[in-house]
Amino acid sequence: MSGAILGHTDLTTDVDWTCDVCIVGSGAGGAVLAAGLAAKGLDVIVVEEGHHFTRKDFTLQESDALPAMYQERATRASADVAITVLQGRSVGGSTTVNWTTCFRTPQRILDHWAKVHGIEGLDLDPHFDAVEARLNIQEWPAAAANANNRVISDGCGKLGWEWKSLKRNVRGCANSGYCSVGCPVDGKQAMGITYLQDAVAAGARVLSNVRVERFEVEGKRVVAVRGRVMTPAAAEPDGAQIVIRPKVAVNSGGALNGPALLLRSGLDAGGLVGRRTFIHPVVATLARYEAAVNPFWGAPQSIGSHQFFDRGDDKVGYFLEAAPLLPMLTAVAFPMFGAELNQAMGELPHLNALLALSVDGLLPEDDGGTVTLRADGRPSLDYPIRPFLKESFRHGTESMLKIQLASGCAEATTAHVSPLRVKSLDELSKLDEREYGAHRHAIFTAHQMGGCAMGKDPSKSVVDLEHRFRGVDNLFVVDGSVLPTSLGVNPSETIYGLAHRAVELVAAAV
Amino acid sequence: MALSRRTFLGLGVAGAAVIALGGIGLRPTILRAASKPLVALDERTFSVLAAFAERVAPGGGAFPVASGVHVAEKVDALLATCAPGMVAELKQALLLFDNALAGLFLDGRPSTFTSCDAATQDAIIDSWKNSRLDLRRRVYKGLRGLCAGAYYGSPEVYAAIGYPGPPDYRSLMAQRDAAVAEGAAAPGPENDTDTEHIEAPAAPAGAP
Repeated sequence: MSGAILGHTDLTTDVDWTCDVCIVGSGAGGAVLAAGLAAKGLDVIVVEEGHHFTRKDFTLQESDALPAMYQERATRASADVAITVLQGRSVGGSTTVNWTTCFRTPQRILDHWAKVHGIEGLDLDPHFDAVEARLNIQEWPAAAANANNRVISDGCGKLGWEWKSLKRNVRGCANSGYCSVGCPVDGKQAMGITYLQDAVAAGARVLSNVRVERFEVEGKRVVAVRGRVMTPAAAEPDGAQIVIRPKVAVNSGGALNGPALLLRSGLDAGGLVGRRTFIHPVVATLARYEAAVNPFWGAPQSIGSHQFFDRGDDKVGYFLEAAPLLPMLTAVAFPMFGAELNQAMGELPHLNALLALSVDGLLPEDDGGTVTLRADGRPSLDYPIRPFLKESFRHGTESMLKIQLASGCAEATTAHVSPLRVKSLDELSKLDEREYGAHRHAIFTAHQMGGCAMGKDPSKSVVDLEHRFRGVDNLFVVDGSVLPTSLGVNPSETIYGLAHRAVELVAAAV
Repeated sequence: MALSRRTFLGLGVAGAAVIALGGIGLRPTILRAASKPLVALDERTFSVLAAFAERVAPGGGAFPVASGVHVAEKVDALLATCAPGMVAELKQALLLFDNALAGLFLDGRPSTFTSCDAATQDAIIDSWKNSRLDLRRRVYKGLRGLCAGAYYGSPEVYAAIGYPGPPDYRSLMAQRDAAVAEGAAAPGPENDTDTEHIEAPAAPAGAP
């Protein structure tokens, strides 16, 4: 079998193909899995809704990139519109546009999964070793960190807080800062230029521009994967019918889209599919410095702090990272309008942005959000901001302002609808005058996890410890949706590692 | 199939009824002409969006006004690539925002948003932004995000905010690709096997 990445210009007539394994989704999970299965000589077809972009397509203009390479043209949000959802949509999934930050799964999280979710004996280290070698995951030198990230090391250093340089999956990185709109030099080791190329070289076929509408199930088996071609600028599928009849089907559509596909297929695992969706809900603060920061240039994330990752058993922890500031997303993040917005945006070269990412899903009462279907089949994320998250938002906001003030900013501001501006530590008590939660301030997510939770107990989990969807013999789920909680770190490497482990498990089912 | 009852803006039956009744006997939407044929919105919803965009980005100093960089037309083009269900809900939201009947009941203002002067429009937007009604805050956030994104994503605005724009890596890489095509070994990612000492491509003019 000759491998290839095919798109809407190739798939002009209806298709009805058989194969060993059909993987829906080409992101961090699907790509690694496809490469491993193809290397074993299996006939693999990957189906991806997004378009296949290469560096020659990347203009580095957000107005081109965001609609083209993010879910729902970068307008995706929670059901109440309170949370902006940034999620990739292209061959390579979110890895095409992510900020390259890589962590192994923290031991604290693995211990929690073993204790609470029965996921025991999960040894991911050999798999992390393998993906770190393939993707050149290495620490980014602190000396190469941009001013936007140095705010964290400077501020934490003065406060006596922990910080460290982050690892990135780059090779020949130009330190441009444009990771979020597609790497212009193929420095980022995204799936499209790494594992998917390995898969194609080993004979896999990648069908891009195809929206999978449903798994067709007969008895306890998936008998077909059904989709339609969708041209890149189309609002809905508008092309040929695609039918793949695999021996084994894999859902690697990621959190939100993956659970939605299962629900469209009538597979709800007793009402568990879509539940326990976690998002590392993000709050941000901005600071203005007299010197130029140029937050749009340089590796987007190179320094972070886990000072507040573990805040005890009764509080939600969070971790701290910087955010690059390109104009379009920055403007969307600010809550104001008119002259006030112009003034804030006019300071862009002098701004720093910090993020506090809450570690959701660890408290016993925290079951996160729920994905259901909208009338047209799109996923709808209902994610309530409960009191324990509001407390984390409040605490995280204060920590970020302290870092920015300690690092010498002229003024720091919250992202509240009516921002609080502070110039000294004395003013932080004013944080209590502000409300926290939906529509009180900007909230984002760039890390979507869960919705098909892995676990030992069939009454509480969607997939077993081998990624097999309960109740369907030849269906696996291999992506971030299997995570039973959030991670407390950027999730891409955990997904790579899980997918690398899943190669043997899926291959054994063919 | 488990269907959510929630919609993008959650307007529901009451909102639709208000929209349906909205124009009766009250001041109508002031229409604006688009600079190109509309592909997702209709004349009325486009006009509301364009009026809203003009207050999100009113111009001043080095900042162009929203209409100067065709913000509403850009949003219209974007919406043509979005799910029809989402576009339908957004159109409902635009009609509700402009609605004179809702304005009369909730604010004592018997006028459409589009028929108000700029200062009144700013006050209306501010009241939606800070409203106790969840629905109004949703509408504000949705409309503001679309308009602010389209405006600040316009290269014509970059100079006003001190953003130099992206460096020209494409030309740089095209030169490197041409050199490779002529047989030269390219420095950088694809020919580099020594992961400890990776050469990044030289930065183009304007890069950090």
